[in-house]
Amino acid sequence: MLLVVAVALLPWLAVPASANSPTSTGAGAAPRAAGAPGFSATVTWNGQNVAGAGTAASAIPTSFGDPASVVFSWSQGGPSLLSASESVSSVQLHVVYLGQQVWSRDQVFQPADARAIDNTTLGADLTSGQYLIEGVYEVTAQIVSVGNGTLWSENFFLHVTAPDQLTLATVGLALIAAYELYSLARVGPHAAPRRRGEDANESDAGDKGGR
Amino acid sequence: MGAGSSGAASGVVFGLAVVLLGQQLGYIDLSSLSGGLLALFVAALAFGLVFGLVGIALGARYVKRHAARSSKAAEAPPKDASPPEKPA
Repeated sequence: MLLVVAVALLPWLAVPASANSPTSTGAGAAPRAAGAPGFSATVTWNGQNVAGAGTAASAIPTSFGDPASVVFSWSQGGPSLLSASESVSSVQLHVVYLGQQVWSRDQVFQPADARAIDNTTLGADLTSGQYLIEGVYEVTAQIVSVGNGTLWSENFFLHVTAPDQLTLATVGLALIAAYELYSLARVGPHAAPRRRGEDANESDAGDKGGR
Repeated sequence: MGAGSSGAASGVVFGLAVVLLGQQLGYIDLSSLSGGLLALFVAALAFGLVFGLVGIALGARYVKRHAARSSKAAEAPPKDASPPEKPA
């Protein structure tokens, strides 16, 4: 039982959240794509638009071993320069597991990017913990303004695979499941002592009654 | 601990392991806290019940077989018993 709990906690141990990132938002708390009026953006993960990966079934496949290139492109209608409060201060990526942020990457602009149409590339290297965890993860991509308000955000899913799908967690969980099946198959003798006791009592009572 | 409760305990651990393994292999999404905990709870409960029932059935079968074997052993003559003497 303790081993199962330990495996569930592996993501926190493997890829701790960065210290400068905002607190967990919780998956599903925010709408899938949201943004300030007039502000639009697209994000691509290794050239694939994340808008098409809105469900776990359509998750973008990636590997812990492959460095990913995430391109944020945004545009704001109206003047070519954004106001001071609306200028883009950072772009961020957050990976969420069981409602907790387990990994994040961001790029901070100093000074803030005031161009109404621009793009930036964020390197997302998922190599840490490549032999510990894999699976489907929800990612939140955010474009944040100087006032720390979210200009735009979108949730999408990544299917992270480890080399040969062999991770410590996968092997450990498979062994636990196999052991529990084995334990179930050998559960019969657990019923014996109670019944033997009952039988013994019954025979004792019979003997006493006979005398 | 009886066979039913032993089976149920195995089922709870098996259910948790299966859900976590499903997430690892990409079949289950455990991103949200409420959805993830619900999936873990339902799997633990369901497998606990099923394994508990299977444990009860296996325990009953074991006792039945054991009782049948014991009664056969009681009816059979002892192995070291000397053969009956032939009449002269």
